[in-house]
Amino acid sequence: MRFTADHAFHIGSQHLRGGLPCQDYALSQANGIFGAAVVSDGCSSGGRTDVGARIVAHSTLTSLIEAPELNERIVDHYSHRRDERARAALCLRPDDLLATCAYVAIWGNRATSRIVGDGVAAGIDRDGQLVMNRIEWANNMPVYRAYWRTDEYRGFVTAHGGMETRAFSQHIFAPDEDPRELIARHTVEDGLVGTSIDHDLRMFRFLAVFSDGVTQVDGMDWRDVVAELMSFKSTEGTFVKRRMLRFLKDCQQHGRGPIDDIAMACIHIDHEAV
Amino acid sequence: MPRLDGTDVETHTLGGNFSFTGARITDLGATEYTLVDIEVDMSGSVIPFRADLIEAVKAAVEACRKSPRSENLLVRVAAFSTAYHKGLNEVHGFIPLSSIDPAAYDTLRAGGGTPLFDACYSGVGASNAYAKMLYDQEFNANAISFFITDGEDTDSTIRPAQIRAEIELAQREELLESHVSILIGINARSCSGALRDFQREAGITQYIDAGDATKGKLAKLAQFVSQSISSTSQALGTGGPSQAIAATI
Repeated sequence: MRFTADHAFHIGSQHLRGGLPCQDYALSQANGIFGAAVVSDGCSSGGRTDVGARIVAHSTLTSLIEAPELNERIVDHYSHRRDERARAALCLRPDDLLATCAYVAIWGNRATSRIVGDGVAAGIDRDGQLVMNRIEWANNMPVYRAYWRTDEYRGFVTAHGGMETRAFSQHIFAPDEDPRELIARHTVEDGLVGTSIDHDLRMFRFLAVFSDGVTQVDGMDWRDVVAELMSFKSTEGTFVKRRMLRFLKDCQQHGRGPIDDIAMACIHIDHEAV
Repeated sequence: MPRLDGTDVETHTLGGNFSFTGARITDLGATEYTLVDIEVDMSGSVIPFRADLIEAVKAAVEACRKSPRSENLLVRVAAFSTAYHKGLNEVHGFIPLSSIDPAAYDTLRAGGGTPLFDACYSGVGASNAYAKMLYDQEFNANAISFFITDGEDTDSTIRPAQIRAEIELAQREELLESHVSILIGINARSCSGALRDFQREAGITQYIDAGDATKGKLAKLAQFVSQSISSTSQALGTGGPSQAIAATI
């Protein structure tokens, strides 16, 4: 088995028109026994979250490398500490670190996707079937791991109307299964610490994570966006960047494009490689 | 990228019974490439300055290694002469700079007539065909072709109109973001009029008279080729061909 990973991110039309930086970021790394792909989406109404998204993605990737056995709570904890050290070193404000984090990581025979905030995790199995898992928060107010350090989530919980409010939903979309789409609504408390999805590594050829920018592509359903972005033609080198660039070019030709910033990161699992 | 061995290169056929080789597309890792094709005259009249001409081609390719875009170049070098089978001898197909062995150019021998039209046609055709393969695999690409000759065509099966059709095909199908083609006359003052006519008839972007085949002029030719390649590669992604390429050497 061999893993290759790549990532891409692109500014959306709103930020481009407004002279604002892209607040999405992505990273990836792979070797013979380990693969990790991370995306982070900075909050538009936060501070310098373009910087925050980069810090969050780097902290997460470094923590995954440091604790590859994939205990998500340990990874979260290490990532948190790194976020804070970077924030302090760069004299950033707490709201500069308001950024989501989604990753997929593989260590040995284990594969896990994790979303803290919102975004999409998707996989293509060995038969070519695409499965998508979208995490969404009501009123476009996702949880950020920086909230824990700020006030232990108190402000966030209050904004959603309390711990018992069903403000967090999970959409599971499997085109070849019945039902095709399953929507589960959960309480704020359920979603506070993030969502993890374990994958049977033997089943998949690609595992990817996306920022919620995939849900805001002009004139396109988010499932079509994910399906198109996962339609890789080749898997060497910068395979995600090539796919993203061609997708954006095709969008442009039809007068469409991402309204919000968009990021994706993906691991390719080559089961045949020795 | 590792040096390519025979298994990393694929052979493709073109119209007119020509063929070319190129690095296996699935092994390429960047997002975009500039295709560089250099067709160099190895007819009998080149014998007096063959070694210097080969040095110029080597120097041009070597200089590309210093370009910040060196990892985004795929370079093909072929010689043309009626002494070769079908008039062409591909030294190497479209491969990364890191895979090029400059010593391979020293093996070129001069002799025979000048199948210039065939060389131009196969060069443009190879760029177009390889560009289509890149496009289908989602790579962005542009191209620059150099046809270096010391005289008029003497023995080709292809006509200039066919070259023009091939150049126009690339523009129409938009497989390449841009394709600049440059006909360079070296020691060709006596036939510069005919070469200019051919350039216009075939739709080649530009004709440049590089002057006499002196060491100094050939060194300038090498510099011109490498700078034009660098400029074309830097323009990739902008939608245009490149900054204006100097009309003189």
